[in-house]
Amino acid sequence: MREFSKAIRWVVALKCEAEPIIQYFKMDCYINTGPFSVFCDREKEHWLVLSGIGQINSASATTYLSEISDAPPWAGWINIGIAGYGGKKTEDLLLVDEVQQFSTGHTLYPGPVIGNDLQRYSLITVDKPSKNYKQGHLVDMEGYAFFEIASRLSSQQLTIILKIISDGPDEPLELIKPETVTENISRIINNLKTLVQELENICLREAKRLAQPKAYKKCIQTWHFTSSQKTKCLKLIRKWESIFPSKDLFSIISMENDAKSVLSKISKHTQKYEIDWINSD
Amino acid sequence: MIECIYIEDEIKDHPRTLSILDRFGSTRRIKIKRYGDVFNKKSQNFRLQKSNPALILARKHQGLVLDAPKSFGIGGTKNYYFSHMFNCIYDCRYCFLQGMYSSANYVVFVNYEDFDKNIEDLVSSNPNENLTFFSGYDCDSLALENITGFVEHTLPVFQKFDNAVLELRTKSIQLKPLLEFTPMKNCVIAFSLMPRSMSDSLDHKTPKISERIKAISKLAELGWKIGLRFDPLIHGKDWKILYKELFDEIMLNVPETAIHSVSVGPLRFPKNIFKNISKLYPEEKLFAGPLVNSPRTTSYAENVEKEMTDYCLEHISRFVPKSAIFNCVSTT
Repeated sequence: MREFSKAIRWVVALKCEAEPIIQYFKMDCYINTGPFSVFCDREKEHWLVLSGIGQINSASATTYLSEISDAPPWAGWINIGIAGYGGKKTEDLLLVDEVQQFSTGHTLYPGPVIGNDLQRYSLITVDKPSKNYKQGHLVDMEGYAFFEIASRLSSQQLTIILKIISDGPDEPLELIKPETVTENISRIINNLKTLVQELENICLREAKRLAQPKAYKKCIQTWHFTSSQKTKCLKLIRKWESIFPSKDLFSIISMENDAKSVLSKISKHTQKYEIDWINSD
Repeated sequence: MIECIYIEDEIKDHPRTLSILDRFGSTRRIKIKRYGDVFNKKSQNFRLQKSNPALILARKHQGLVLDAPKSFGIGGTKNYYFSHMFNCIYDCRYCFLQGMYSSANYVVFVNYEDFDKNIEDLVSSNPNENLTFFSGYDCDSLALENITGFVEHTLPVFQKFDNAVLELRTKSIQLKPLLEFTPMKNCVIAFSLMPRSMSDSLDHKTPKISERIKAISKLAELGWKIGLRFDPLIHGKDWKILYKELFDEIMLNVPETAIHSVSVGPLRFPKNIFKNISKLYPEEKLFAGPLVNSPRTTSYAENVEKEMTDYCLEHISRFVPKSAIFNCVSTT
């Protein structure tokens, strides 16, 4: 399993939406011969997939990106794009906390724990472009499906839908130029950067929780463990690290001959542990 | 700070809903059909959500008042518990709620009148029993009082009963409703307590033990009945010394006559709940302690539990009569 590091996955429908993000996060083309074009930065922390329009594309692209980028369970997922709106237009970056699939009426509630300075909106995801803008709701064609899939790959709190209003009753979608879309996204890049930093922070916290300890990886590389021994080893190493966070495990197990004696050694050191509450940090 | 309030459509015009919403100005509001649509979803991250929970206003339809576990009791012949709220603003590391619920969002059931009716029916159908109703099983009874108004509402309900006692379990020092109300003989304000150094490590976001003892002392002075809940009992280096210091401090500050009851309960979890909690907090030292698995629970070994319980009961009995001491094997 991976070392823990920042892991952000972008699912964007259109190239004109993606360009400012690709540029800002210094991503290059990773693959363009598969079903979807994928971009990533040099550190392989930010990955972006161009999904194309529609829910099927968005869901497929999300899954594809997860596989091709080996997305860890602590990855932050972002869908960003333009949306229609029937109310008063704003040029701000908007955070979605309620998304309904128009065809079924099913509703999901993203429940973001970041982006408190962004305005929150409800979103309706439709199957074809519509001029029937519902008052108080953004309209797009990807959000619901993206959230449905991405939130299963990590968690709701690490899955973010962001929208920028592009069209409405007075500004039909067919008149919106790609350059205008790119400009609109470029304009909010600083807000986006702040949100991404927040997301990266909580992803890293999750990574610390979920990533397998280095000591565990070293153990299973050094000795042969059966499946059940691996499970026990992971549990014991986690216990060791909570008790002795700065003590090197290998200083006590390196001379052991096999998995069984390794487990026995770690167990012996940890089972008599008494928590020192007075000197606890 | 609450960034979003979900409101069940059914209770959107309920006076308590409107009163709660009044306190939140222009906070984002989302209408929902049932609180479970938000609260029960599996892909939520309890630990991350705890940093920024939302508020859900809902109606409780069933299971408003339930039988308490068999080991639960502070002298009543029949014991019940009820929860006007799910989840807690505090973040205690041993709390079973984090292993039980998918969500850290607060759910407030605004239909207090339905809870009242259930309680009234139970009281009137058991005229010859001494009933105890425990509040604070799925939440802290006092901590969110400024939003919920739960205590302010519920105290007058119990005032009319001769054979029913209300226990308000809390770690809060939000005493306002209690300071403004005449102390009731049939209401026990029960504080969860543990040695200071343990509490500093485990009771995140709660008032310090010294503050809780001050609050207890104040309430006792006013005439409120006090419950002391040493639950869960936590093991560790010098645990005997730490617990003795705690008992001594309480004896110095709380008059014996104010103490209604004392209960002790060893640390234990249903096995599946412990599994969930330890996944959320793999780095937690508490879980590296001498816990053992039995078919249904994770707890200290039987001999450890017995040693701790016996020690605490022996010391407590020096300042409280044995009839007021209860050994509760609870799930926290």
